[in-house]
Amino acid sequence: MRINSIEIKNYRQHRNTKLDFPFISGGFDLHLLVAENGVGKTNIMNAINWCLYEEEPYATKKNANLPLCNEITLDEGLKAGHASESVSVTLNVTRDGKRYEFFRTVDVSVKDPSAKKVSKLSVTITPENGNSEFYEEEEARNVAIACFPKKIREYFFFDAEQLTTYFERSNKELSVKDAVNEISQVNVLSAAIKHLEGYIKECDKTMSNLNPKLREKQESVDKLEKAMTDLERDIDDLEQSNENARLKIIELDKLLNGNENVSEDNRRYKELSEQIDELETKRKGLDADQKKLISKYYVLLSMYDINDSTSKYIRDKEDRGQLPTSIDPEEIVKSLDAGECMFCKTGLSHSAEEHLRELLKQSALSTKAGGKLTEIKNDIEKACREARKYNEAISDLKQSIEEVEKEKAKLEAASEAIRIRLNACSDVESVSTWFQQKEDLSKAMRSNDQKIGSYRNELKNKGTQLEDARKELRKAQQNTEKCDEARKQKEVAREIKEIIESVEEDVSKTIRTNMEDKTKYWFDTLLWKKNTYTSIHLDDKYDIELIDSFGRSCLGSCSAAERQMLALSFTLALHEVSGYDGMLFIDTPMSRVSGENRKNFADVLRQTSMEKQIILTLTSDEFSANVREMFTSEYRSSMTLMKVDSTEKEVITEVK
Amino acid sequence: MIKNVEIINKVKNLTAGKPEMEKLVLSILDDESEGKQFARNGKPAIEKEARERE
Amino acid sequence: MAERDRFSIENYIYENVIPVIDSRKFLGLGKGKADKDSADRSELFFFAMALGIKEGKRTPLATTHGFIQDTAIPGIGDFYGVSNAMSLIYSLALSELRKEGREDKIHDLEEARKVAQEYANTGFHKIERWLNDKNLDEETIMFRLIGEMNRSTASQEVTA
Repeated sequence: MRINSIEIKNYRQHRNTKLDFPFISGGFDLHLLVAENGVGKTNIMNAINWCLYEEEPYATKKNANLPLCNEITLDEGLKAGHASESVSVTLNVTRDGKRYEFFRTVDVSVKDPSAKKVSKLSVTITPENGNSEFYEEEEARNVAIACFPKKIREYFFFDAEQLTTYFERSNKELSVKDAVNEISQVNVLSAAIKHLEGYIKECDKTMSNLNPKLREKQESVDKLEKAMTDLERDIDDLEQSNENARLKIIELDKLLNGNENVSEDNRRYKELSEQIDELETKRKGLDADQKKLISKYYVLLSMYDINDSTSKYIRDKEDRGQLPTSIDPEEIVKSLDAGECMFCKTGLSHSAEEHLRELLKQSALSTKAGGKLTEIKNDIEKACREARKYNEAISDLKQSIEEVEKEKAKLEAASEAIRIRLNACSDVESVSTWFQQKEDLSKAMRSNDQKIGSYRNELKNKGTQLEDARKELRKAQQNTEKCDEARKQKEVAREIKEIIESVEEDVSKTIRTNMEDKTKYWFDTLLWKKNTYTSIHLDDKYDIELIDSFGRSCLGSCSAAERQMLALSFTLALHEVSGYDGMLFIDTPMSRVSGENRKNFADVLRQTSMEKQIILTLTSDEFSANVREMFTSEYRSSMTLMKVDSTEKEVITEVK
Repeated sequence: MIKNVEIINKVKNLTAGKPEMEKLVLSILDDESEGKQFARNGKPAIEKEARERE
Repeated sequence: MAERDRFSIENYIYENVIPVIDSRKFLGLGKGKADKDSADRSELFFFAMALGIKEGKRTPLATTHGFIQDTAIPGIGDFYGVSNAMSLIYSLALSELRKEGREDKIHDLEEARKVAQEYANTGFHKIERWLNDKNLDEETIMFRLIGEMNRSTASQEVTA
């Protein structure tokens, strides 16, 4: 699509401006409008927008304070006694072999020029061969939007300031992604899918109404379809998760290479340390036992000779009968006095009496001393026996100590060997962490695999169930002729929907990748500072990221000129990739770009104009010597100089 | 009209061997791109296709 | 004045040697509040007494300070494998009394006490010398004691 001409009457400073943009086949469809600031370049864009959408989106200093209608015309009209004067813009466009003439006009009150008046839009469409069509009002507006979709006008009408703030979303009517979808017509696919879904629902409703049981069967089918979609989605998620885990494990393996044993060593080292601590505690216990042993046996052994002698002495006394009897002497006295045994109560014979007197005599000797000897006799013997246990006791203790020492030495040697190995590894903690991560990931993967297996089984089952349910549904549907009709319609619609969904998915993916590539291509061509960035990335919202040669995001640190370049690159990519057959109108594109870089800019625009109409407005400043060189008559289709007359209220044009 | 060549080509690929279906899908998409009511053109076209099927 | 119901040690020993034994937990014999394994004062007394017996000499007490109640002694018998540890003291007393032909005084507690205290006193003075010897550490002392025990009559008898 291209603009053939614009005719502006009484619109602001354009009292009678006619701009032609002739098409020279095989040439550069590049058109220049050169004028100083304030002459009316921006209002050319405003005029076009006013014609198509009744809007003037491009700010100028003058417009705010001036009426829509040209001041000189208003003056003359007032003098001539006219009630109103006409403002009109005619836009002549060629699209798909047809000529479109958009014509908007409004009558402005001479006395009250700022009073709101309703403008009228009409469009005449003339094919190459055939009759013209004429549309007004609503229909004309639709045609205007079809040719120049308003939602994406920022992607074919630009001013320099817009370029610098291109990537700030708040400035846009439409997000970049929406714009891409709009321009590439992916949104058409989405809309079609929605309509088809609605239609399919209608068919279902028809069938349900005709056969109530159908509703149940339909619900079964719907439920199974949803369950299967959910399962498929879950399986995809798990597979993606496993893939991510697998890649991560590869990374971890690279990090762990050569350190496979570190985790095990670390664990074993800790274990050994604990065991060594336990043995040290045990050893301390044995030390304490040793002291007790010394304390006990030193006494027993020091006293051994004494106790042995005491024991022998007591036995000797016993043998000689010099130790007191175990009979209480008082009882002997009582028995003698009573003449009968106090214990068995039998009378005492003469010999018995003699015997008792003898006993009394013995017990009278050293009773207390003897008693003491008798008392201690057993203990002294025990003490001697206990002393003789010393050898065994000390031997047992020594063995225990040796065993502990031996075990401890063994563990310490093992621990030392591990310590040396661990020291060779620079970062034991990180390695342990990586191992743990790897284990956790492997565990998660196994668990996911199990789930995937189980979901796949379920999917298979559900698939079978769905087939059966669909069969039943079809059978039920086939019962009624009308049902059958609706069923067939639904089938067709579903088939179409599936095709369009598939197209949507593919095209969306391709567009984004192509957009990245093309944006990079144009940016490389435009940029004078080569190698300051390495790649461009678009996320799924089409937010652009510029990555520099250090791997950092650098969009925020770009200069205004660079941002302009990037915006232009993105737009050119958008036009190319989306297949949008539209022109580009750029107002003062090189205001921020200087010197040699303008040459690049000009070169790109020149190149693009071989495929697409480009209309540029430039200030004389921008139209520098080297730009002029780039845009000689060989490389452009037209150039118009604009200036204001002496009143500064009317634009005069001169075609060069 | 659908201008995006990618879209057109993909539709053709997916409906290969089924010219009627290709025509139907493209006509629905063309109508959609021109803001024409689905009920007016799309539906009848689908119904016609459905009738022609056994 | 010797006390009647307890075994005593010299004041000097009580004030200067016992605290050091306690703080160093010397041979596990010191008594500390938190230390569950601290030897009874009886165990310490008997050990000191054994050291004195090994030295073969009695040292009369210049001063006295009560150290162990009489009633505390019997209970430590279990440690030495006897029913009543006082038996050991009477045995010691007997050996001394026999030297003087006064074995009929064997039952006299005060005689036995005197003998035990004087041997223990010798032992405590020996411990004091150990504690003050900077060249002597606990391990060396234990090593020596074990050596003595290995060479004793009882262990030789068993080995033979």
